[in-house]
Amino acid sequence: MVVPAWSSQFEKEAIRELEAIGPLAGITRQWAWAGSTGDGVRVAVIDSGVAPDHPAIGDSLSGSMVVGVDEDKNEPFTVPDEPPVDSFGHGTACAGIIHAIAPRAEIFSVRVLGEDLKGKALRFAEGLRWAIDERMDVVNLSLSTSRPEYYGMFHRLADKAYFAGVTLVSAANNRRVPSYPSLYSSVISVAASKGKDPFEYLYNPSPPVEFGAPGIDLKVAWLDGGSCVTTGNSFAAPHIAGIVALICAKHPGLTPFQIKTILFACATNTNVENQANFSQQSQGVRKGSDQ
Amino acid sequence: MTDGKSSTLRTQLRALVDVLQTSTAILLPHSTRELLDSIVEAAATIFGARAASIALIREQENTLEFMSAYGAGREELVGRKLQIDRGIAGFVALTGQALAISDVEQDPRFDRDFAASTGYVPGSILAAPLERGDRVVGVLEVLDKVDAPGFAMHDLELMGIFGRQAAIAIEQTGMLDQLNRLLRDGLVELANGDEHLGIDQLVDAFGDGSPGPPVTELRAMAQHIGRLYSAGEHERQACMGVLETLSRYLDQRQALH
Repeated sequence: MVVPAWSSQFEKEAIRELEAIGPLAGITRQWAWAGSTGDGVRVAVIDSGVAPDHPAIGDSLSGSMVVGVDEDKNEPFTVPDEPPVDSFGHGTACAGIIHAIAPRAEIFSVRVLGEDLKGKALRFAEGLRWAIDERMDVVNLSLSTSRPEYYGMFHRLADKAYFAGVTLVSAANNRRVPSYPSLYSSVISVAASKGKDPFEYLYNPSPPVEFGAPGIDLKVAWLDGGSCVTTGNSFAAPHIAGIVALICAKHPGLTPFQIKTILFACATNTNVENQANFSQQSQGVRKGSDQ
Repeated sequence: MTDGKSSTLRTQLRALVDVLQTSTAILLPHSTRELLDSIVEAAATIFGARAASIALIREQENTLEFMSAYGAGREELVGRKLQIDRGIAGFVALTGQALAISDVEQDPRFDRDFAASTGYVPGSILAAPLERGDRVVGVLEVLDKVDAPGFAMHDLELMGIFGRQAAIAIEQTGMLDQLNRLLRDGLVELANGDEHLGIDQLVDAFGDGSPGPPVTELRAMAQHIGRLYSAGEHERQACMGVLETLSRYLDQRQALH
């Protein structure tokens, strides 16, 4: 099957088994997130908005912001989105995926898709800046820009997030084109891989797209309380964002690099033998070193 | 030029200009509209879809204007404008990301007002941006996959390649349209202007650009691709490999100019 450019790396024939070595082998799913509901973790969804009354998000929506641009000064600003809306359905779909994985995580919608075409990348950068300044635990970015003049701005924001302990989870573009911030090394980049189990995800040893998560023929929330079946990298990112929320809730204070290490160690294709023994581990029987 | 010759030329030009200004004749072989029509037909063929449409972004108005459509609902769609802040096409135009959706009927109001007003509500949609460099210039949609409930990953990827080439073709043909107008304006000036201007200058002014390949070739290509694509997995991969290589070659050639 031919899949989007980055997703081909997650095909069964292409992906290979990896090994988390030494003490890393002791990082198990049991330790990482078993029993977690994402309680107390704040997840920003920078997207088209989140519909507050959609059944798929329950009561997880804790705040809604919208980004505008002052046309005279060409400066963006972020203000409460009242009433909160999602006129496309995409942001609600992403929020629904996160909520399904981390039901007690608090979702903050940052609507950056506005009424017009002007200042798209600027709005997007401003939304990200807001989420970083608010010290969100996780930020889901299913959007990206290919404009080279924004490379520096998004790189600075990604660095700021990294050093502030804000984990950015970003969907790769479906094509192999420059894509900011998803392709920066400090960001957790995600493409679609086959499979529907939200806890089955893959680590790719040949980045820049590092993780593969479900994003093919998914049933997701959509407009007006409805749903649809959809395919695309933008629905793979929220799967990882949800898992990161679970990890953050169970182990507060982790840095983005620690989180990425945990994701690597717990990937379906890492320490395959250990993963097979997961059921044993959940009963307290451990394999490998445990430092 | 002698006075006699130039006045004859001017008279002839005046007559030609009169004809042009009152007719919709096209001086150059292919217009944007013809090309767009052939692209939507090719897209529907390649992707095995019942319908297809192209909308171009009208930046000043924040709308998408449907320029061409093929298949069900086409008559009502062409010329319609969609606000950019709603709908799947709007999302694709704003984000530059392709989107594949099916079972949209379960959604009570996916831009239903617009779709219902055209009398056609599709069951599955694959929408992709038409991009020139990093700028989205329009949206290409294919609707209602014939032999499957929805469009698959391989359709998404092929759309990426197809959309990119379609955008290049549209831009180049847009330039031909401008050239068309320039030619007409040039002839008007020539007819009304300085009697010392000669036909040689007119020929020089427009150089020796050659038109692109006939659009009938595009139709034939679409049929070949459509056949290959529905033949099976190996055929699809072989086809994709060839197209990708060609696409990269074209990108490199583009970059050299």
